Amino acid sequence: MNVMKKIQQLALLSVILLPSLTVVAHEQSGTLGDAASATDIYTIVCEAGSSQVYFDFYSSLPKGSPTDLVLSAQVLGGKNTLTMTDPNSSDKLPSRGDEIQSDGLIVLVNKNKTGKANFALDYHCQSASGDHTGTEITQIQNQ
Amino acid sequence: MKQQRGHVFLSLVTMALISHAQLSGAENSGTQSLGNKIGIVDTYTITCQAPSTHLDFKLRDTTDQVNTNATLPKPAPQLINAHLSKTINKKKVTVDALDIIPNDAKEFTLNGGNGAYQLKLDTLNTNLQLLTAQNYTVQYRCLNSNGVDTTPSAGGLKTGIDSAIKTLKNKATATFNLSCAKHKTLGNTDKIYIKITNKLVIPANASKNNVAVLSGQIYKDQTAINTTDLVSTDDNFSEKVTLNAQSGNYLAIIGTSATDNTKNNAKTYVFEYHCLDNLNTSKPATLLPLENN
Repeated sequence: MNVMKKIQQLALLSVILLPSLTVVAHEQSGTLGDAASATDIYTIVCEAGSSQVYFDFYSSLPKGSPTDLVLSAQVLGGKNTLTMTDPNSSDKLPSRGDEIQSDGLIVLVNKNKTGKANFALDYHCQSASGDHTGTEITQIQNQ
Repeated sequence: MKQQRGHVFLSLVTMALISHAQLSGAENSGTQSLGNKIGIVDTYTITCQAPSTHLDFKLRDTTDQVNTNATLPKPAPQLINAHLSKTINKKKVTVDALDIIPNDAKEFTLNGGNGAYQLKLDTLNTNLQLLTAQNYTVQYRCLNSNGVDTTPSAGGLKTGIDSAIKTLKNKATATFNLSCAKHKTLGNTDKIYIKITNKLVIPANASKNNVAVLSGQIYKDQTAINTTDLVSTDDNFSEKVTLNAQSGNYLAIIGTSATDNTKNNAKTYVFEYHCLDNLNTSKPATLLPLENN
């Protein structure tokens, strides 16, 4: 069974089932709660004709969180699953970015330890020639 | 995970056999490896047979284990002991759960029916050289003979979920007074269920300068959970996490927070997975590698 394909199908279904949460934007902010296990999930779906998705993210810490708290994001949907990390939550620099050959992604966002954190996902769907195409994001888990 | 191709099939068969053979507890992936390249992950499918209700998962970074064991004596762990008691027919009956080590949990029950129970925690035989107070959580449930919750009560604790993290200093004790009553429709309490988790105390600077740490995510049916092993030089697993997503295929993703191409970011690791039903009885599980990097 192609598990990745099934995950993508589930993601697309979630977009259909949760229209009220769908927004159109190229930046999506979010927060992670205190638990070390906290994970947020988003689906990014591209309009027909798209062939790739650019993705990176920024992390920041609210007052009181450990200064060595680090956020990571796992990106599912391309040929290979990837993980990206913003190595410093105190600067204003993002994680590394990547163009993933896919017409949609599932993104998991989490962190290395207990403590609250903020993040902003930066993403856009593209055609094969690099033109931006229609992009929808949906949050399907908020922890 | 870089295994010789000739051994891959044999490994898969071995994993499947091990998975079916060890149904009494958590199952182990065996030592795996993740390459140096930034951003890569290993992925696996863990299949829980029906009627599983959840998957427990934890992982351990074993990268520095060989060198550590060769050069440093292994320190004894800090630990917590639990003693659950109830007076039954004028006799005090006690169930003990001893030597709960960091990042481990022990679950136990006492068939004492309705009434008052007392849970006492202590640190007898802990490593007194380690001075940091231990962190732990408590969970309790009152259950009838069918394993269904009856009517619990306890100051400061909610039934069925882990408490907020509490602390216990060396040589200190903690006492919880718990009560189980008859439920008006579900009947009498048959037993009380207790789970004590010893939460590892993480060194404050463990991830300073973004040391590449190993983490794992479990994903199924649009839910996910994360766990991280911040220290590669010890024997401790990451915090055990649970994803309540019934039976079927769970996706496990193993990766690191590495961002520095000038360092060797390769890792070796093991993980434990355990399919369980709503009474925390083990259910068959199989493990299938998907992406080996």
